Amino acid sequence: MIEPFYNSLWVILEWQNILAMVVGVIGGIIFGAIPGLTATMGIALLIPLTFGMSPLMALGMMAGIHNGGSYGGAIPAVLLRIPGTPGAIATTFDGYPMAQQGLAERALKIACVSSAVGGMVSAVSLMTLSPPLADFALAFGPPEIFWISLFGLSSIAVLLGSDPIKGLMASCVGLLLGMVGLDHVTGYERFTFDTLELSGGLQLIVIMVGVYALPPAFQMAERAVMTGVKSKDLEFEGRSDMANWPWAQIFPAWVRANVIGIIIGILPGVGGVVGAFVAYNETKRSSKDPESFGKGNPVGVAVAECANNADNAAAMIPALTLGVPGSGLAALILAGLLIHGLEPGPRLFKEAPDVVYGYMWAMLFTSASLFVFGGIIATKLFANILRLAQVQLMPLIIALTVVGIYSFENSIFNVYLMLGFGLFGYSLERLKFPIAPLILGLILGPKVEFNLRVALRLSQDDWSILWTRPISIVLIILTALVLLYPVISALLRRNKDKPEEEFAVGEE
Amino acid sequence: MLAGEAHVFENHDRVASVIFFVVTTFLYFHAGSFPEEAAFYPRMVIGLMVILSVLMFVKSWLKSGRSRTFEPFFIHHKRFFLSALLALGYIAGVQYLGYYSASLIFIPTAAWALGYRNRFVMAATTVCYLLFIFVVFDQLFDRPLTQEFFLRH
Repeated sequence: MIEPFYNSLWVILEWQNILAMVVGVIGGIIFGAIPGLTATMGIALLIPLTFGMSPLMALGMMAGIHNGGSYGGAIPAVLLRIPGTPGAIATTFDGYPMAQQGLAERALKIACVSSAVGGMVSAVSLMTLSPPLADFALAFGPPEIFWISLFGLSSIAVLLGSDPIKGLMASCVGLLLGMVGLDHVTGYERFTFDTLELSGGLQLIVIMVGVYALPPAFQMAERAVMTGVKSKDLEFEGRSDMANWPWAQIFPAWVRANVIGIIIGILPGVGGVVGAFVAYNETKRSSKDPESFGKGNPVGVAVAECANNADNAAAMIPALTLGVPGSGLAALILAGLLIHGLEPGPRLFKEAPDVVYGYMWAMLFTSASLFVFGGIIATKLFANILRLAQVQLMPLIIALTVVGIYSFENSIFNVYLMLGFGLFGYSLERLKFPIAPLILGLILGPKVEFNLRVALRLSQDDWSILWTRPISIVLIILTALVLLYPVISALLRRNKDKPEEEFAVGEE
Repeated sequence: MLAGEAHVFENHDRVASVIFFVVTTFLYFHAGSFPEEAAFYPRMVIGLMVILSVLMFVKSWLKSGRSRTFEPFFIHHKRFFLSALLALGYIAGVQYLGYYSASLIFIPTAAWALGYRNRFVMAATTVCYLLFIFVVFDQLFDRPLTQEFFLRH
């Protein structure tokens, strides 16, 4: 187990990979710091830049964007009470009050160190939990792969958004888009409508860039914000001495945030936002001084940022080992692997150990690099990005998506298709459909169909093969529980409310 | 007033569910023309989508009586259509004029059309962006872009 880690360490330390990680972290912080842009969008936008790179270099850059973006969201959260990324919402609770009290520098430094700690512990969990899980997953046959894919898809669809019907519909749209093109078994063209360019299928990158990168660009154009943040709003004075931090409270808060963040990160569909909220509430509940939370308690910033970053690498555990990502961002990184010709799953650990283990190192190193790039001078520089008028960014984002998609296959058809998916993604976003299930459906769709067909062939069309094997039974139960979760939680909520209502009636 | 606003808000979901129903029903029957083995899985997924679109419609119908804050579909419909048209024109420009020429026109034009007036910043942004693309795509990764109209023989 040690050998692949040792071998890949020397590969990841090649200068090209280090450069890619540094560029990724800086790019990620920039994307995270600008409200409206997220690390997810950053990865979607920058994936085309990685076509000419080796897979590990590309993954190193993505790891940098992932970790950098998670921290970058804290900068406007502290300075302006605008979370740069959804995961930074809990950071605003105490970060902004601290800034109002003249402690912005301290809040940012705590956010930076906590992000780095969360990311590093999460990377260690990825390194320790993934190899045994991958070994276990090697025992999976077509029925188990079919069910684990359905479980991942159902979890993301039901748990990610506020409306499970919309989540399921989005994942079905992804499955449907994944069917376009030649059917590999019969050779029949499906849903191509005699369009030659579609016979090879829809390219994942085209849809991904369209639905993730273009809708925010259109929204920037609609809002047409002509001015950036004024420089006086970004000024912060004073020196933060780490020795004066409330370590006795911060350290246990980090432990709690890491445990919660990692567990939530591994669960498909429940991301850093939930992790940060749960960890924040738990810390507040167990604090001796809960009233100080929300009024500028540094422990609140520490726990929110640590939990937010603790889910980063953890979400990659099911993605790398089972091919089922734990978050939308993990789905994008999975897509990045596919684009570089690598099939995620347990076999990847045997077929491309340098890439898999090298990626784990990259998650660790990019988290640690936040100590350097998230330092106070860098934070001041990144904060100045907020001075850019958003209206200027819109044409740049569109131009970048066009060059990226065109250069993928030198196809202008793909570029028009991307614009079409951008408009479709915009509509979905405005109608509050979650986008991640669509991407996951697109990634997992061919896998679901292939394994279903292989399973049925193996059993000579005996469907019972799908529900007679022990692992399949467990996965079926888990999938059913996830699908029934909204109904169960609604019933539980109703039962909880009922006695209070009856009491209220009785009082009248 | 609030009930009327809620009605408009809920209509977005209802309209979407009707569109999904029509499209998925068409695709369900279209998939019927595939060979049996190739049609089985698509019809399974599309059948589920038809059911989901009905559920979505029923849900939006049941919710329509409840008061909600009105949220328009577009943030600013004129600027949305303007930016979508600009993007479409830009892609056509990339196809016929070449990437660099089209970008040279599109980046300042789009910012200008949306109301931005600082010429120096627009010019600097455009030049820096094109330099970045030239270095990364042309020099570093050697990715071919569309041929420039003004450089064609």
